Amino acid sequence: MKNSGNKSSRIVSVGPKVIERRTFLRGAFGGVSLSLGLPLLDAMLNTNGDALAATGGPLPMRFGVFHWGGGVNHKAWIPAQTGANFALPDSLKDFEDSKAYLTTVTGLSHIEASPGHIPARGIALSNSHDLSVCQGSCVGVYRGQAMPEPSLDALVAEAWKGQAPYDLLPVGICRKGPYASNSSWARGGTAYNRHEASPQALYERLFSKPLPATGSGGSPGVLDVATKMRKSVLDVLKGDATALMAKLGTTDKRRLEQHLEGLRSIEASLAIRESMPTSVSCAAPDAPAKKDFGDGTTKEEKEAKSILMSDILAVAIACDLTRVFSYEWSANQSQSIYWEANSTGQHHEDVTHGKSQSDEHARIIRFIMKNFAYLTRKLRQIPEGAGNVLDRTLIFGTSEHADAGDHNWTDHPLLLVGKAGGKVKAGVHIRGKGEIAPKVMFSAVRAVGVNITKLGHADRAVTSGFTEIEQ
Amino acid sequence: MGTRLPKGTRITLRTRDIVRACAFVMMFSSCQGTVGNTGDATGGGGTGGEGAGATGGDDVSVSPSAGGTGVTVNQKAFAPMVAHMFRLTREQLSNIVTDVFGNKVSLTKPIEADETNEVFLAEGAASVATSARGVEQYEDAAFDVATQALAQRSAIAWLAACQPKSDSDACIAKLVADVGQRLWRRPLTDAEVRAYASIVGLSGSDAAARDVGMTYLLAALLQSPNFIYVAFVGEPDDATGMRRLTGYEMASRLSLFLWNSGPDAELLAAAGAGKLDEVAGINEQAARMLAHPRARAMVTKFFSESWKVSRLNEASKDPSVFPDWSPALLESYKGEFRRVLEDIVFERDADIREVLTGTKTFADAAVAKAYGINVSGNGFVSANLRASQSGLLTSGAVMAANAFSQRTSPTQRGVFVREQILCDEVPAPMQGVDTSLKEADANLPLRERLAEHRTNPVCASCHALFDPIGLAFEQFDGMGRYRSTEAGKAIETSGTIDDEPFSDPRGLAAFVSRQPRTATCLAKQLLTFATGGEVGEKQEGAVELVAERTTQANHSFKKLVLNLVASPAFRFIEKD
Repeated sequence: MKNSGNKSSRIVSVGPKVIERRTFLRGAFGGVSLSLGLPLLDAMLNTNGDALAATGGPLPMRFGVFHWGGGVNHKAWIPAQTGANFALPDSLKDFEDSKAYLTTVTGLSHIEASPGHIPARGIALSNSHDLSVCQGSCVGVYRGQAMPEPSLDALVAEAWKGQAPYDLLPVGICRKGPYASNSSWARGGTAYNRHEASPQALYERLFSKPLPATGSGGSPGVLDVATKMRKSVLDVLKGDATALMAKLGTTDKRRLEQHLEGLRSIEASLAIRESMPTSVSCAAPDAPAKKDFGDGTTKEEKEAKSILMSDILAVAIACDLTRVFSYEWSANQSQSIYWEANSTGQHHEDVTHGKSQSDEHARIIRFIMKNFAYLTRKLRQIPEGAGNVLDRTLIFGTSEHADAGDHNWTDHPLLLVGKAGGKVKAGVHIRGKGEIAPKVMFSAVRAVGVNITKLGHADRAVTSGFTEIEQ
Repeated sequence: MGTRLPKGTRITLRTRDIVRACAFVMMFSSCQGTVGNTGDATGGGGTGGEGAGATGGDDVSVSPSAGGTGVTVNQKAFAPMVAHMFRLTREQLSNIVTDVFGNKVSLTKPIEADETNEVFLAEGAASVATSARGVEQYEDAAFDVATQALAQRSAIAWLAACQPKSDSDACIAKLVADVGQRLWRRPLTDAEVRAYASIVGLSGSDAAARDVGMTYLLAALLQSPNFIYVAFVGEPDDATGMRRLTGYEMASRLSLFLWNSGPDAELLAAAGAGKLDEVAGINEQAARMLAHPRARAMVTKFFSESWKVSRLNEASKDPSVFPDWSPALLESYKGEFRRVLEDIVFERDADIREVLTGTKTFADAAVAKAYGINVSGNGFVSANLRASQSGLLTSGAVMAANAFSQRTSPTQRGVFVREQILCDEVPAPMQGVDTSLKEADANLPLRERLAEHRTNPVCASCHALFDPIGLAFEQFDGMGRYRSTEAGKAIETSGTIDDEPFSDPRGLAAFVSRQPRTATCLAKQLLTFATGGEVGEKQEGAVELVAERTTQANHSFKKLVLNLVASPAFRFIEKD
């Protein structure tokens, strides 16, 4: 795919045809892959570009989580200066062009729990963790995967349910390791949102669902048939599920209820797509040609994959196909080898054990942050109204540990990228004075307009934010 | 991977909870306790209780005076296992697609991964729930299969036979009824047939539009929860007061167990004729299915899951320690495993305990090299094992699977023999114990490095149960190769089990295979494999009866299968 968003022009044509947004969005379901023109959403806006033309309502807000496993090297992570005039530290150097959108908070820590990556993941992403205690060789350690509170992305998606065709898009890059695809979960922790690991599959899901319809063209009439058929099938399937549930016992009924919920969300996404405003042009990216990115132990092409994933995700966000995403760069205990960062032989987890604060680890983190910066750049380069998409986005970036070598949360990495419509003080480094890290998470969720009054569970819960970053 | 409901929602008592009590008995009574019936004389015999039926149900006795239902099997109180709904595994979905649509059509799209948290895949299938994304993936996969089918119409007889002339062409309803029954494993109701048949006409009124409609119809049948999930609800059995699987549910249970696929037309016909409500009819069908080549894969699958060999697919061996470990070697190991099982069960119908005690194997060049034995010829050829090797117990697949990525694990291997072969429960490790090996001892043989497990009374209270067993396998390294020395010293293979001394794995295997609880354990494991359910105290009598009958039939695995499917534990269920 061409990195068309790099151009500064407001209208970047990546294909010959410009088709109505409505048609495009249906085309996404109709099996017709279309190349369309930027910019996005403009025709939906009022003349000032600050509200939706149809309703006068505010532009959509977006929220994302960028998660990587293995913590940071503090020497390379903590900026030397505070406030707006801080020099980007080595790990964050690639955010130079997006610096005005970056808020980095240091000096805050999470409340300790028992050691281990699984509760750490729960704490760092939801301020809660499963309290069941492991019985095997890991006695005394919290190991349960059922986090009582949703991960931050899922918490926002829950509040915004039904606003976009996809309530939450999880995408992932490095898949090698025991816990890949475990950083996004719904309330109660039993339903993990698995990360799409293939740019190709993500593209097909969003932009070219190959459903049959009569004829061979892409005229709206044909696509209407496909949508109608699909809805009819969903009706029949829901009927089947409901009839079957009536015969089942309690547990199995709950299992099937979850399936029925899945059918309902497909239906809801169809309805949302149909009701989206007309006369809006929206761009589908070209289909990614590259499919094989190698595996985690050899020359895995993480950056190539991440660029494609970010390109597709950025369009999905700009086109309002989703408002919430989870970008799992890597999970805890990642077994990927960072040959790009001149780290060979040992995989990431091994590097963190013993060499967490080494130059080698700093190079790895810099590489990860470079890819994070790419995603934010893509969003910043898509114009929307008077500004760009990143103006009304907030991405919370964190790892499961601060120092994964010691398994601690002391001076935890906490990044916010995006301006959330002006609700966060962007472009600053704030050095805290030992406050607890979940306060930043609390502020982030409130900044995008989800008015929680508490975050986390039981005695971990926080009820107020980190005011230094709020505005 | 799918989503799981919390463990706490399970209702039945886990087998291991029950057996755990026995393990403690073992610990405090010189390890002489056994699980199950040690006697070898009962009535019955043959395959599955012909004529045993007391008051309504073979092998089941109902005593009205006993209070409650008073049901006993093999003179022990009996209650059926809870039967949870299965979600078809990927392999099952794939097999069914090929069965019904022919080999020109296949399941190629990704679907949500099987749940592999438990020993047997069936246990995961009985507890997993599908995420919203998973439901979407079913939709994609169903449309993909349906589209392939329409493109291959002429090769699929039932589809070629229905090229509807109108929306109300009778061939549509017939197709829905026929194919629906194959996919859903039961006849469709009239209302269901109507609902599905009506899909075809929605896309338009010309022939091309109706073909699109046919695609949607097939995709809908494949997306239905009635296809993806297999519910076991049962029906009241008047004679016993319990719930018995319906004929169609029995057909599903049999075919998923024996063929890893849906029932064929003959099995469905037997269900429709009421034949699967009786032991004789069940045995007749099971015998037919066992004779089908597809049943061979069932035996390999069962032992692969039970003996952890299936876990090798995801395991990785540290290349710096085991540079010779490769996918090709794993395939060779799995080939040996399969060949030995097929030889015992299908070629010779021999004593299944040869998996523990056999002295021969089938080895290709890679396996022979790993064992340090000589073979001649291409592919897998019959070969004598080394004197210290014993059946599949010491095979490369089993030894590599029950080991760490960098070295062997006598603890894992000992626990494996206790839990998977003897069904003894091993207590959980104690809290607050430093389990790391001392780096300073790195040059000593593992047996010496683990000495503290046996000398420190705190460790020994548990490790004595399994370390001496696991240490017998030290001649087989972490990737399953034979070696005679470690750290420059000859490897010691002797030990004791339940106070019985042995000198090497063959001695250990001989002891284990003599134990009646080994036969009971095998029956119990197979029951879990087949039903995904948790075998508990209330099924003990039924499981023992299956094992006893199999023992009398010279430990034939085929007879074990036939005894099992006839068992009340297989035929009766408790609703979830």
